[in-house]
Amino acid sequence: MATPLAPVVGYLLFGAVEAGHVAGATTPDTPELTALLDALGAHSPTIEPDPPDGCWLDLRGGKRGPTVTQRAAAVLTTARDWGHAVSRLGVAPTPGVARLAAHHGTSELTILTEAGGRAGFLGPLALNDVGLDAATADHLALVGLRSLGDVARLPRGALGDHLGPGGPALEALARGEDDRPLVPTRPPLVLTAWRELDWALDDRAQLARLLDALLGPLLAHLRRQGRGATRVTLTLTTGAGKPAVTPVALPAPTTAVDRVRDALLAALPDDLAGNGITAIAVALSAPRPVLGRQASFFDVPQGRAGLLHHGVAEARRRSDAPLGHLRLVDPAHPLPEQRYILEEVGQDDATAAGQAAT
Amino acid sequence: MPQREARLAHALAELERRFGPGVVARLRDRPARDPADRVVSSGSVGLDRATRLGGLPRGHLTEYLGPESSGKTTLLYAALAATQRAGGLVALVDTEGSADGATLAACGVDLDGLLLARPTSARDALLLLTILARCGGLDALGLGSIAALRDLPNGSRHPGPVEREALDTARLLTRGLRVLTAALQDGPTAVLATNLTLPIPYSTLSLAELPPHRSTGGLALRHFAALRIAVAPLAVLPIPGPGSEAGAEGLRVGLTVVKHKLGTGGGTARVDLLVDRGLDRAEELVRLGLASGILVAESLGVTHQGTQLGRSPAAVRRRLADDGALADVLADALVAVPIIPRVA
Repeated sequence: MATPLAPVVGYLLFGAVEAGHVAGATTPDTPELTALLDALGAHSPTIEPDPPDGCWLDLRGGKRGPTVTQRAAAVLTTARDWGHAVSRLGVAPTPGVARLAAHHGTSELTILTEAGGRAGFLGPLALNDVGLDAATADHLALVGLRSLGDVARLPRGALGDHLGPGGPALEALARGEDDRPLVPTRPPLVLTAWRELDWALDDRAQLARLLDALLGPLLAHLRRQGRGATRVTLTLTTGAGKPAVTPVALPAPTTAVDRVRDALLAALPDDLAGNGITAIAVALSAPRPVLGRQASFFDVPQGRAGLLHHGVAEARRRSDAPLGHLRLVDPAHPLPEQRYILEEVGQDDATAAGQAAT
Repeated sequence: MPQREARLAHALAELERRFGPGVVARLRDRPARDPADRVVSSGSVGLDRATRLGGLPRGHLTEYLGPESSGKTTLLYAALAATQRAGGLVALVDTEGSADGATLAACGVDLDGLLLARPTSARDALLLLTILARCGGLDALGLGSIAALRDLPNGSRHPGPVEREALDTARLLTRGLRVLTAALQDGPTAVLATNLTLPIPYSTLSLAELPPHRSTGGLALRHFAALRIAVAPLAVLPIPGPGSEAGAEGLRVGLTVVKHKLGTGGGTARVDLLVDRGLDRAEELVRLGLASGILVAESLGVTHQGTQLGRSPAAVRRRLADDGALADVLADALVAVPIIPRVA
């Protein structure tokens, strides 16, 4: 009976990807980054992106294959070939430790898979350097906790009451126990809407109004979730011939109806709308965040703000009620209630925090 | 004696097994909290003193109770603004759908720091309240108002006749408030709700049999609220100057603590609510300051610890309205004064 291989996780830190990275998006959407991840796929069966400048790799190898060191060297070579000359790679049994090894290792390749290597590396790391917010780090320093080694020496569960959900996450990181499986990029979320017409539509202005009616609810749904559409597909069925499919890639994630509608109409041939459209369907595609990323310590907010973050996440998950902040949009509007709009809290962070909490 | 303790321990274990952990607890098991951290300010020094706690209690439900247009919502916004001034995190569940940014900002609420929820059903509203109260990340959580919950759809998946729906909403409210008060226990969040007093109905009950403050939400809220503050309009404040027909500058309201689970009820306060500024903190500080001796009216003007603040009480009011730091100093001094002498 074959024994399962011990996990070996690599974290490749390849520097900031500037071109086209959308702030707030958690899924890489740039051709350069996608191409690099594709190239790294030759060395790892699973790649979990960690935007904007890193990714986790599964570097487990069989008895007959190359060693971990050889695979790590190959990964670094690939990253350099794709223009990331200052890449760093951390290799460890768990994702969180691998990430710390890449960020704080003494050389461009830090391997912590040997017995005792993990504890020796984690122990001296200062709490200020592992992503803990400054106030919490100061708070812990007051009681003599300055490094991960200090935290690891505490009895299990000692921090839970004081740091909220961040406490157990920090304890797990200090002991190197964040052994979650790597999760690859999730397929995008696709929302569709269609309408069959009682009459043959041949007016472009009417088509635009119909598109607005179809796109509005879909984009509002995406807006509530804090996502944006990056691709839209329009399918028009005419009286004669098979349906015409028009896919359009949007330049940036958006939830604006006019932007999506204009992009669709611009991509549509002039004569197509004149053929008598009898049915219309739109499909919006929006990238989804990586699920496994949220299990990491690095996304668990700390302190009172962290607790509130979890509460908001749970509220967003269990209720459809609008929840967010009032923003001033039209100071000169005669009606005071029209001067502000309710800008809803995004779903991305909320989902992330919620999953970390559960 | 050890046998009796063993029996008690056995009974407690049985209770926990049947009804879940935490069903019984000794009060001494609860973590002690710093007394200064047990309350959030209501925004009014007079009301903070009237509660005899120094503010509105965290971990409990406080209800502002009054007729229409008596200033309940303005008082709620003033408490949220005061909590924000003290560095707290606040949220507002707007069941009426009437909270607009201009009014909130006029009352001193920092809109960037305010989390606003607009539930579309009573079920959603109670769910949001419970989740946000339980998370422990908020200092104050406003609900405006409980009366509007009655008019929201109850969120049932099997809607029935109107009478049935009203009954469902009442049950939902009772259950929701029970869950909410349990979720609040020992937490840092003070839940502040406004509620409408109902007119006395034509019924078979005599006036003596009716409760003095009859409100929406049935009996549930009366049981679950730790603090009930009755708000009663006293007088309309006219715009100063010639021509009283110019309109009202605000409303003077009287506040009475009609229920107090954590202390002695019966405390009263008086505040002015202005149309364009919300709660008039400066007026209250000057009035209470002079009454308590924190401020001294001398021939040259009004002084505080030997420092002249203005030539007249009106001048000090104008100065305090602009100088929030000075107002905070006076408010802190007023809270520390044990008893305010009655003004002749």
